Amino acid sequence: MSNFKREVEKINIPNNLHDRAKLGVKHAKNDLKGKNNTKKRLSLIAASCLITFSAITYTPVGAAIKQAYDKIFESQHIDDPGLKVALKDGHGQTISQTYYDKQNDIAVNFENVMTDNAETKLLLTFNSNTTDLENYYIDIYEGTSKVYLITDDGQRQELDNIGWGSRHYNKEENKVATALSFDSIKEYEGQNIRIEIENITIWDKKGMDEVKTVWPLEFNLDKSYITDREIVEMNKEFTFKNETYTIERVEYSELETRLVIRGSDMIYTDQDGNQYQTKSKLEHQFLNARQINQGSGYTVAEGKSGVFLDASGERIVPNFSKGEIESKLGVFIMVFAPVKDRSNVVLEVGEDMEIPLIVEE
Amino acid sequence: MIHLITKAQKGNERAFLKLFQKYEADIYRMAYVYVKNENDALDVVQEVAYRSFKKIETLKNPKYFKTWLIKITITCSIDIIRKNKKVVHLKPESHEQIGIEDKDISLSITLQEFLEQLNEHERSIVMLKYYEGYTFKEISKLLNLPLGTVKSVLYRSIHKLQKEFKEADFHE
Repeated sequence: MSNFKREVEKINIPNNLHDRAKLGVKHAKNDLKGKNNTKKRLSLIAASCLITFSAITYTPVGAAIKQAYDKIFESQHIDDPGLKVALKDGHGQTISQTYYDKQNDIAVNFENVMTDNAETKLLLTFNSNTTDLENYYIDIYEGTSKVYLITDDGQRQELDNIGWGSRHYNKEENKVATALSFDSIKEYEGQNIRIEIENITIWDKKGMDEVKTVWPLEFNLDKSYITDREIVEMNKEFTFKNETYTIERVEYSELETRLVIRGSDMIYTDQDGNQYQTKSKLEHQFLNARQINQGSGYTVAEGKSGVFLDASGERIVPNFSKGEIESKLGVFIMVFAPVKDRSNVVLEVGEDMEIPLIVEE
Repeated sequence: MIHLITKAQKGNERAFLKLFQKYEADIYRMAYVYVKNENDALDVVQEVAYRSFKKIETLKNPKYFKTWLIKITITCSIDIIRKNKKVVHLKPESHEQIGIEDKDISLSITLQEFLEQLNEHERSIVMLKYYEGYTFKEISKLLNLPLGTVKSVLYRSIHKLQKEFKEADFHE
């Protein structure tokens, strides 16, 4: 037990504690008495959130890549709509390398890497015949896992997470598929680089633990980048629930669409005058359409209002796996799936607010 | 547990109290860290019992019963702090001796330091992380704060307490 926990547990529990709880319940019961407490019991019909994925059309370029990575990365079990679109379009560099972690009896299959100016996606699966992998995560956000890049001349740097990445565990195969998301490595194009994944994070009922290990991957980063981002400066202001927001810019890439937004309710000041980022009304509206699915992360809850993009009549969904991208204080980065037709994009906030994402002359 | 919650949701007082008793010590300690005195902490526990019994029908997933109670505890504790700010105390209670029978004075001072040095916002995050064992994501959801904020508040809090605690003191 940590010293801190031991300290807190030294706070004496008064003898009359349970009596006070009883008293609270007694008061509540008295309040409830006399009220007509027969509530209509609505039978909850579990509307299974069916997300339809468009059939994969094999392009000659895409077909070669599709053979090289696990189909799981295109399935509903991976909660990154941008990644799925990029894979479907045949983006990314095939890796096809296997590393055997002898100490833990884990076979690691590196499958694909894609990077643009803002982030890198590294797709890998790992499985084992003897080690139960159900609680094994490469958690570079709050776990003890880390990702390092080592260049040919020996320079080593840690790569920070971008959003949370996606993960799926297949119990039958005892196999984890994970799409890690971290800092861009685009600047190393054409170079031989080594990526090292250090430590596996274990999340179970007891909390967090780790398995010390290093999984290496060496390759030449060859045309793995997708495109440069198209950045459109906006400075467009709108009001939502009495708060003022400014869309500073929109960033389009083959992996995602980012809206960089400043807002009047994004900064919290505590009693000591420290300032922190806080969730704005706009962010709450954005998250309103988020639903968590066991085993497949975040998806869009059908029929719930949220924040979406409309691109010439096509609905572009939020990318909830990019839950929190670091930004300046008072700025919120809202991420959506990629947009192909960028000529007529509208931001839809809630039920009836539409903001065209066009630069006014 | 699910059975008890179902019964409690139908208004069964005994089932509810059986459930509540499992967590009331945690609720009390959480409240104490906020309000820093026994009387107010007991008031918080009573209020949490009152509000949670009245609202238990709204609990959708029994798995989150404890988290739901902790959230109500934080709300009630902050309410009491706000209320007390309007009251002038003749004797500040924040300096009362914490009820520790243990003879380890240096450790009791450590806890006192913790209560004194951090504001309510910081205390709640440190408690949720290191006493309740919640993850950053869970704390973010509980307190309705972005993950980044939870992280930065926590690290700042630890930095503030560095004179008294080593970071290792927070870990198993």
